[in-house]
Amino acid sequence: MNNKELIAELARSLELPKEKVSGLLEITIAAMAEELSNGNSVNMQGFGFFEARRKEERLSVNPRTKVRTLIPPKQVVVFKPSNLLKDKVKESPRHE
Amino acid sequence: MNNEKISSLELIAALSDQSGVTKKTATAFMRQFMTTVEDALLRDGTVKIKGLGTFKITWNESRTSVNVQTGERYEIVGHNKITFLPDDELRDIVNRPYAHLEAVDIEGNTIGKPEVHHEDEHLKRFSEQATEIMSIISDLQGVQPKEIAQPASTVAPIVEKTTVPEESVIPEKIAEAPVSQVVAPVVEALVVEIPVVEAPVIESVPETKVIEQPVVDVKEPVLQPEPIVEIPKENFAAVSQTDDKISEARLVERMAAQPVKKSKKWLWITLIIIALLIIGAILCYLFCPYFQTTQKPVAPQIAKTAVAPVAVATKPDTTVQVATTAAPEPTKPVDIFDQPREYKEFITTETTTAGSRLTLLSLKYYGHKVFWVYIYEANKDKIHNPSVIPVGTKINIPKLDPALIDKHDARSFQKASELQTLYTK
Repeated sequence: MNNKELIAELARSLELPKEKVSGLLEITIAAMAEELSNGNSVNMQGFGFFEARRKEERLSVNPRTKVRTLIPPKQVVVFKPSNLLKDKVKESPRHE
Repeated sequence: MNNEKISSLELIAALSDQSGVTKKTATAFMRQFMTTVEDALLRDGTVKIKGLGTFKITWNESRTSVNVQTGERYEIVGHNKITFLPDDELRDIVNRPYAHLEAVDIEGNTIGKPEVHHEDEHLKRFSEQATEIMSIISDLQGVQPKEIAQPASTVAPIVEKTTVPEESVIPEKIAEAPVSQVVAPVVEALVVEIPVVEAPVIESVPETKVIEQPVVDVKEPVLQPEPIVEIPKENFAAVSQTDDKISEARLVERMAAQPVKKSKKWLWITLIIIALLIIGAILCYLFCPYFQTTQKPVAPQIAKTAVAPVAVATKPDTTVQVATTAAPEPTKPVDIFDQPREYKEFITTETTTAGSRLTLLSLKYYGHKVFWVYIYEANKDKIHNPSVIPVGTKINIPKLDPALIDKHDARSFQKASELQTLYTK
């Protein structure tokens, strides 16, 4: 499901115009991004937990050229699904 | 960094605050969002949300594992799990504090370092050898002052001559071997070192010349004699500085004679470089007035024509001037991008509703989202945070130079995205 389908689906079940839904979605995501970039974590009850984690700098070696490169530290977003969702997904049939 | 946990309740409060919908609607939206994503994920296996990321279900194959406590082997049954890959947008926002960092090629640095190290080693070895020679020579002088006193000979002859006479003193013989051994590396060390000393001298000479040229506009022949006088002096100074440790003046003279020959070659190279620099400076000077005279008038005129084409139409004089001055001037777009923007004319005024975004307004009026920065600039007094606009704000849409918002031009894009990073900080 892509963004468009998600908005259409939300608009249908909430009985709101698509424009409004897409606006709400954008604001939600912007608010989440803001919190995450401030170092806070966002917990969505029953869904999962978004967190910004710092990855330390590391040395990487290109296996072909053997060039050693220092990868700088970075901040990444990780998502941990809630136990509820995790179990639901676990029991779902195999995709593909 | 404040490590707080933001719950969905707080997120709902923020949502209703910023969008103007009731808390009830926001709660319903949030709940529906989560269930829809969940359902779609279970149904399709993948959900892509713009600005957030992609949720995907991946299959973990079953594998055997060992219970650490009992040592029992057991099988982990194959199962699905959720993976989340953040969107580029979100990734960049979150990684902003580290965005300026780039991967460094360590190899490049380690190649550079040993060279510096080598120089140090040479210097170190050289000074060690110098002190050694000093001690040996002082020993020799103490033992046999007559033979060392012989002047016009190199160091090697000294060694030979000390061997020629009768095997009178035993300590003298012991001293011979180290002298001949030591002298050869000293010469090597000097030869290696002198180019290193010369390099900075050559660099510093043309630099000072460049500064002088535009002001005084000196002719080439006047400049040429200067470096000839300067460089040998500095060479001698440098050489004598490094050789100060050696008390024997003869050694220094012989060794210094070699680099002087070498420096002549360097002199020619420096002269050629200086000549090229002068030619470059003259060319620059010739073009300079051209820049100075055209840049100033063109910038404001373009602004006038762009912002108020109606006004220009009534004054034909200015349009003619623009046409004549702007035509031969290739740096015209540069001026538009660099000059500070003024917003006097507006296309229209928009009142924001729930879900209004500057990017959407930009898309509507300028054809691309990235130019929202100009709308923001024009409405800075009303908007505190460009990503959060209160509902009901009257936003003026400024009239912009078409070159500034040309979505097919890479420069206008670059400028807009530069501004974007500036404002979204």
